[in-house]
Formats: sequence, C-alpha cells, structure tokens
Amino acid sequence: MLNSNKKTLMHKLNNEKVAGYIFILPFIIGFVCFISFPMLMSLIFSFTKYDILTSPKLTGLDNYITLFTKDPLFWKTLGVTMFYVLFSVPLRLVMALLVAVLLLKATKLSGFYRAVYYLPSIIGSSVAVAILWKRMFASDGIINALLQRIGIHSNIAWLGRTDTAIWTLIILAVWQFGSSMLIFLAGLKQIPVYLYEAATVDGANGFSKFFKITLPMLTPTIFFNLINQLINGFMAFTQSFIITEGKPRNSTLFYTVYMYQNSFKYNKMGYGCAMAWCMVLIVGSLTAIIFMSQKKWVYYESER
Amino acid sequence: MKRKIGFLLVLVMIFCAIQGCGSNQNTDKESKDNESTATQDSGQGEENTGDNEITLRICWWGSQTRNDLTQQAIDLYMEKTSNVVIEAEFTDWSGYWDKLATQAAGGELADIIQMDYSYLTQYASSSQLADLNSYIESGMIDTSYINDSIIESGSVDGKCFAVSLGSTAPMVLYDKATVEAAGVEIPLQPTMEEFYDISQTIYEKTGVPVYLENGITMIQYIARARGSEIYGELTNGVTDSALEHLKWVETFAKADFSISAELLSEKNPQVVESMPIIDLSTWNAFSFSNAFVSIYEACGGERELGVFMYPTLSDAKSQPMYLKPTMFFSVAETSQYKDEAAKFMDWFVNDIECNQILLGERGIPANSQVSEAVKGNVSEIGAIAYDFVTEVNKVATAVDPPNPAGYSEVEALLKNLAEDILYGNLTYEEATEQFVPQAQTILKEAVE
Repeated sequence: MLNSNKKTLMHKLNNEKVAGYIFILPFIIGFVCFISFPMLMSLIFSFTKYDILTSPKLTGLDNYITLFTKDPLFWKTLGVTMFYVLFSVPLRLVMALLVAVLLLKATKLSGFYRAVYYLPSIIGSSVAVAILWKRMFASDGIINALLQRIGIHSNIAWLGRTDTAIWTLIILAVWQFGSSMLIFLAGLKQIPVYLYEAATVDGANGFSKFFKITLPMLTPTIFFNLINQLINGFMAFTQSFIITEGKPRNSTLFYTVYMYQNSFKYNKMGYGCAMAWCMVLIVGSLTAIIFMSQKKWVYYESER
Repeated sequence: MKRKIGFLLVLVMIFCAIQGCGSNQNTDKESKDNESTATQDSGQGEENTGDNEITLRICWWGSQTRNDLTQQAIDLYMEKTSNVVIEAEFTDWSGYWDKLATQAAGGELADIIQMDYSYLTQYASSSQLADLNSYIESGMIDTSYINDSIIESGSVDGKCFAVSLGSTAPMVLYDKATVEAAGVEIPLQPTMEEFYDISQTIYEKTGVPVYLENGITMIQYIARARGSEIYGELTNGVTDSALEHLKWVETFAKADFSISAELLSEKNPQVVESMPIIDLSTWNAFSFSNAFVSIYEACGGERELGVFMYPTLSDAKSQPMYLKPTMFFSVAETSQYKDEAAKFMDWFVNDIECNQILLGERGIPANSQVSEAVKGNVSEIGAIAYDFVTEVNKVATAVDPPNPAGYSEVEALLKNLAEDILYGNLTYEEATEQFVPQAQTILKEAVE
C-alpha cells in the first residue's frame, strides 16, 4: 500500500511539466519576491505620503497632482531624459551597426576587435568609468589637451556649460554600443548569402546592397535593439548621478536621479514611487507605440 | 530514467533550498566575525565560558581615516569589556542616509548610530532614537566635563537624543603664498565689503579668483548676522535674509575676480577632493574647521594654508560665528541593549585613551578635559584648527536649533537658484521671490 502511494507520488512528480516548472522556479521566486512584490508596494506607496521613518499616510492622488501641476523639475527632468534618449539611442544604434558591418568580414583579429568594442558596454556604466569621464572632460582634462595639440585653443569646461554637459553623457552612451553591436552581428550573419549573390549578378553596388538587402533584412534586429536601448536609456542613472550630479542648472538631471533624490534625499518615498509609476507608463506606452509601428517597417521573412 | 531524473531534481531543489538558508547564516556570521577581527578570539572565548555575551551594532559615515581610527578604538573597548562584541558598519556620507532610512523602515537600526545635526530632528521626532536623559541623570553617560550647550545641541524638545562627538566651526581657508604675494592682510573676521575688496586686490596682483559660498550654510550665517534664524524666516515667508544673502551672491557673481560659474560647477566645492583651492582655481575655500586637515592633505600636504572666519555683514546685529556639533552618537529606540550602548558612548566621549586614538578627527572633543589631553598629541597642522576653534569659542553665539524636516530639499532649491544667479539667468530679487515661498511650502509639507 505504502509502496503504491509512493509510486503515485513519484508518478505525479515525474513528468516533463514538473521538471519544467522546477527549472524556471528560481526565476519565478526571484520575480515574485524581488520584482512583483516591490512593484505592488511602490504602487501602494505612490498614493501615500511616506517619509520612510514613519508609517505611510494615504493621500489619494495628491502625489500625482503635485507631479503634473506643481513640480517644474518633473517636466524639466523628463525633458532632459527625453533629449538624452532621443540622441543617444539612435546614435548608439548607428554606431553599433556601422562597426558590426565592418567586423563582419572574418579576419584573424576580428575576434579580438569584437571583444575590444564590447568592453565599454560591460564597464561603461560603472562608477570608475564615470569618474574617468569626469576627468577627461575637465577644463584641464585630456579632451582639451588634445584639442590644443591640434591647434584649437580650448579651455572649455565641458561639464560646466549648460549646452555641452548633456553631450558628454550622450557621447558616453554612444561609446557603449558593444551589446547592440553583437546582436547586429548575429543578425547580419543570418541574412542568406544568395540574396547578395543574386544582387551581384544583377550588378548592384555595395551601397544599394546595404540599403536594399542588409537594412530591410535586419529590421527585426533593429527593432529589438531599439526597444532594448530605449528602455535602457530611460533607466540611465550613474552618468548623471556621478559625472555631473545634475549640474549645471539641472541641465543633466535625469528623471531617475530626481526620483532617487525625492525618495532617499528628501525622504519623500511616496512621491518617488509616483514618479516611478509615471516612468513605467511613459516607457510602456512608448514601447507599445514602437510595437504597433512594426507592421509598417519591420520585415519578417516568414510573413512573405 | 526521465522520471527518476524528475524526482531527483525535486530532491536536489529541496536540498539546495535548505542548504542555501543554512549557508547564508554561516556566511553572515563569518562576515560579522571578520569585521571584528581583533576580538574574534576573545568573543569566542566568552561564548565557551557561558558568559552573557552582548553584540552591539554601530554604524557611522566617514573617510578611510575615520574608519581605521574608530575600529582601533572599538577594538580597545572590546579588550577592556569582555562581554561586549561590537560590530561596525560604515559607509560614505551620501550612502549612509539611504541605508539608515531603509534600516529604520525595517526596524533594523544599529544600536549606536552616528547622527548629524541636520537629520537629528527628523529621526528624533519619528521616535527612532532613544531618550538619553535618564542615562545622563544617572551618570551612566558622564557629562560633568561637557558644556551644557553641547548637551542642549543634541536635544529636541528638552529630551537629549544624541551626544556630541566634537565641535566644529565655519572656517574659510586660504592659500598663504597667494595672499602674501598680493600683499594683503586678512582680518580674523572680515566684513563682506572687506572680503570683496581683498578678493579684488588678490585677483589684480596674482590673477587668482575668489569663491563665495552660496548655499544653505551661508544663508543661515547671514540670517544669524541679522540677528535672525533662517528656518524661522522661511517658515513665516520672510524674505529679508534670503534677499541679503542672494544679493551678495549676485555681487560676487558679477565681479570679474570670481571663479566662473562653469568652472565652479565642474570643480564642486562641496567635496574636499575637488575643491577649487586645490589647483588654485581659487585662493580660498569655505568649509568647517574639522575638515581642515583633510583639505590640507588634498592640497598636497605642503602648501601653507591660513584660516579666517566667514565674512560677516558690516551692519551685523549679532556675531554670526557659532560652534556646532560635528556629529553625534545616538542610541536606536529599537536597541535591546540600551544600557550597554550608553556605556560605550560614555567611554567614547570621556575616555582619554580612546580619544588619543581618535585624535579629534570628529572635531574638537566635547569633554573639556579630554580636549586638553588630546591637544598635546595633535600634529602641527591639526593645531591650526584647534587654535581656530579656541578663537571662535571666545566670540561664538548659540547655535541655531537642529535643521527642520524638509531641510535637504530647501538646500537643493537654494543651490539651484544660486546657480541660476551665477549663470546670469536670474537676478537676486527674482531668485528670492521664487525661493522663499517655495521653501515655505516645502517646510510646511514636511511636517504635515
């Protein structure tokens, strides 16, 4: 009897479904504990006044109303972040695609180059690089020294001017094109060779091959990279927090940094949570728009 | 085969889960033990003899120097007090308050917390800190050699929540070589007009520009010179001190002998390591006396630095200079060993041997006997700060009450508006018009 009971239990547990669940269990646990639950809590907090030290007080929509009507910095930081995303993401993708096309040809050193170009995207958002960047663009830094070498007398404080500071951050972002580049490389390799052969037979040159074959065939990869980088761009934090600290005149104050300041520096956790949820909605709807637009420009071979 | 694998996987999972919890505890313990390396052995020994061992957690912010010195002092204490193990946690300033807020939210505050004057009200009024009055009355924390005003500075609504670890005073530092080359004498406390003229002469003779502090410390100081208190003014929407302060900010911003707004923004005078005085982008720096040695070190450790008091108003109604507690120790309300924590604080503040290790790194010790005893051990450079504080002590008036809740947001607001003036986007009148009502709202909402 006992034996057969054991057997049925074993029987129940022994199928592929259970094995599958077990394999994804670590992720599920992580997702529930560290993503879903905190998100739910932050949604609740966003309707409260919560200074972390005392228990939250329900205030209804107050935080959201203040956010949209009484806080000019909310709009300012949103604008700064949008500007940053608008320039850094396309520039980064163009850069990544360019280098990917160059690295496509297999040479002895292509593995080495791939690794070298990938490096910045691993270390790029680290504190060490942020501090390096700060030094490079200092008025007595290496960028000005190089400019002087080539005869341009420059002692511009790149990080101190409202019109240049944000661009140092954008350049830093573009420099980290490595992960998009690798994805582009994989995408490029999947384009069937016969298309290019046929084009060569028809007498197409390199340019028209790139624009008529490579680019259309690559649209799913571009689409994927675009969404990925867009979300990354909105989440950018370290650069603004360490390199510029939002200065000068808040011209580099990212949305995420302002959110952090509210939550932890001003102890307005409820307000910070409301900001976080606005961000979720903004990024969510932008992603949705891009998803809807894909019918217009993304080409899947299977749809033919 | 497949079935067996499935079943095995379940077993492995469960095993891992159990093992995981177990090993977590182990590593926790290990890391804690590592933190208190020197006393690990004595602690273990106590455990074996079955004594009641108490573990206190203590946390502070600070530089590497502070971390090393404090750890040495703690090790000494644990040598002397066999049943207490003290675990230290330390971070830098900015990370510290995030961490503390999170710990407070989880009811997990360390037993002994290093506290700052600007955060004291907030933590005390949300009942995170233990009332120390009974310990002071019973003599468990001995205050016989500590000035009443210092105890007062750690009190909120008559209850003492924090014991000061040292005093500091606002201090302007200057590069002696530059000032001497310009041939000017700087009085111990110049007026704003004198400071303006001195800066002009120095720039004309040497080409080195000046920097005027424009943040919350300065506006508070200006208000004091006017015989007022800045947060009182802001809460009531009074614009006088703000107007006076921002007027000076604009006057200096417009002068050609001031450091440019761009360069100032890049240098960030708030951080010792990037102060513009270091590479002589300016000949002066606004700071506090307890930072003197670290600024001296940051300047390379060879340049001679002089000191004077923050410039005051020519029509000042009262002396704005003050002595302020650099930082405090507080006991968490949630602590299970408040007595032991109080004993440690008493030792930390009053023990001469302990303070000879610490060497006034947290400011001039509050206990006058200790302060005298330690002075002999301080280096020639440290003595400059010591003497300065002695001078200030002769003229200082009582310090303002601890900063109210919401102060850090007011500080940020003032920083932004002062920056707008520096960049020439606002006049001082416009900036004041924005600053005062907004600050009033912030302060009001913070206490609601």
